[in-house]
Amino acid sequence: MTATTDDDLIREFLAGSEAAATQLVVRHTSSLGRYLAAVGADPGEIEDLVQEAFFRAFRSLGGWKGHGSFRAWLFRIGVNLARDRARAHRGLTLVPIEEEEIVAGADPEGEMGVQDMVGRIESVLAELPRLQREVFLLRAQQALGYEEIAVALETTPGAARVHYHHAVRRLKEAVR
Amino acid sequence: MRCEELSERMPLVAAGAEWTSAESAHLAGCSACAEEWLVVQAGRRLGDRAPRLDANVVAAGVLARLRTEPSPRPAPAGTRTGRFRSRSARWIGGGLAAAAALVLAIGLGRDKGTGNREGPVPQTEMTLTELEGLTSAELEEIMAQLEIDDIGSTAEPGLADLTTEELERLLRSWEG
Repeated sequence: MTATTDDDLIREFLAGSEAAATQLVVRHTSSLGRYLAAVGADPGEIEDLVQEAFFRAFRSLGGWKGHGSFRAWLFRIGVNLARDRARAHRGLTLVPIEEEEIVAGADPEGEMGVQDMVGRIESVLAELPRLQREVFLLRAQQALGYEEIAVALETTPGAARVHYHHAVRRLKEAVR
Repeated sequence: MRCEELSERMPLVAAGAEWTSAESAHLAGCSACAEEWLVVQAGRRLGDRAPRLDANVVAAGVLARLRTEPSPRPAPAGTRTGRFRSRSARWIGGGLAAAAALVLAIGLGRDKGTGNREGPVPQTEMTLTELEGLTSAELEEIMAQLEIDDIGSTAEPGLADLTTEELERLLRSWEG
């Protein structure tokens, strides 16, 4: 298979290629799972949520207008599924990270500071308004641009930027 | 180098990109940016507790569902879409019933020979009751037989031609 971009894979999938669908799933499963975990989805339900998000995305690809990236669109579906599940469970809480579950990072010099910061950030993040929390995670955790965040969260790029900076300011104040 | 520029780059560097020398120099000398960098790195780690998903297993599950449920099916009653469609169908049916009732009320409620509008009310009420049990297709057939296309013509009777009693009956038929 020569396709490398998501758009190429989508075209191949729409032409009947299951291999293209598999490649899209392999490409985005981990990041979607990590995001859903960070917004507080039950760890036992994450695989089900991820599978459901892909299923819905693929099934409706024929009507997709291609606004924004596939990843942003996939996350939008995942976010909505997680919210629906949270409503069904009457409340979504961020689950504390166990120390041993924190993997080694790419910044060894600041590792201790970051590890210490992760737990504090997590508790403060849970108190932020939902949109600030979700924008922060899509930006800081997923490195999505504001255009993609706007698609994923059904807002505008400008609003996403404002939410992100509010979140960062609140998090900086809280962890001083 | 401005703080805003560095802020924009932080999620990308947290995701694996490299700092430029100018960025590194700014980060080393700016406590506000150093603080934000810690927050962003911590944000990057927040999903690390997610269970490790096997993307191939997820893909297999998604493809299996796509094979058995290849295209969108009508939403079952009780879902948001299903409720909307049911409601729409009721409105359409209600509209047709009201339109048929309007024609019948006008046609049966007046004595065409004399212009007397004190028509046979019991007969009209019985007709309206019977209309409630009809399907949309049946109502459309009645409308066609009544040549309802002319109802908007100024030469034919309209709402303004109805008596108060006829209008009340018409409204009751709308309200169900």
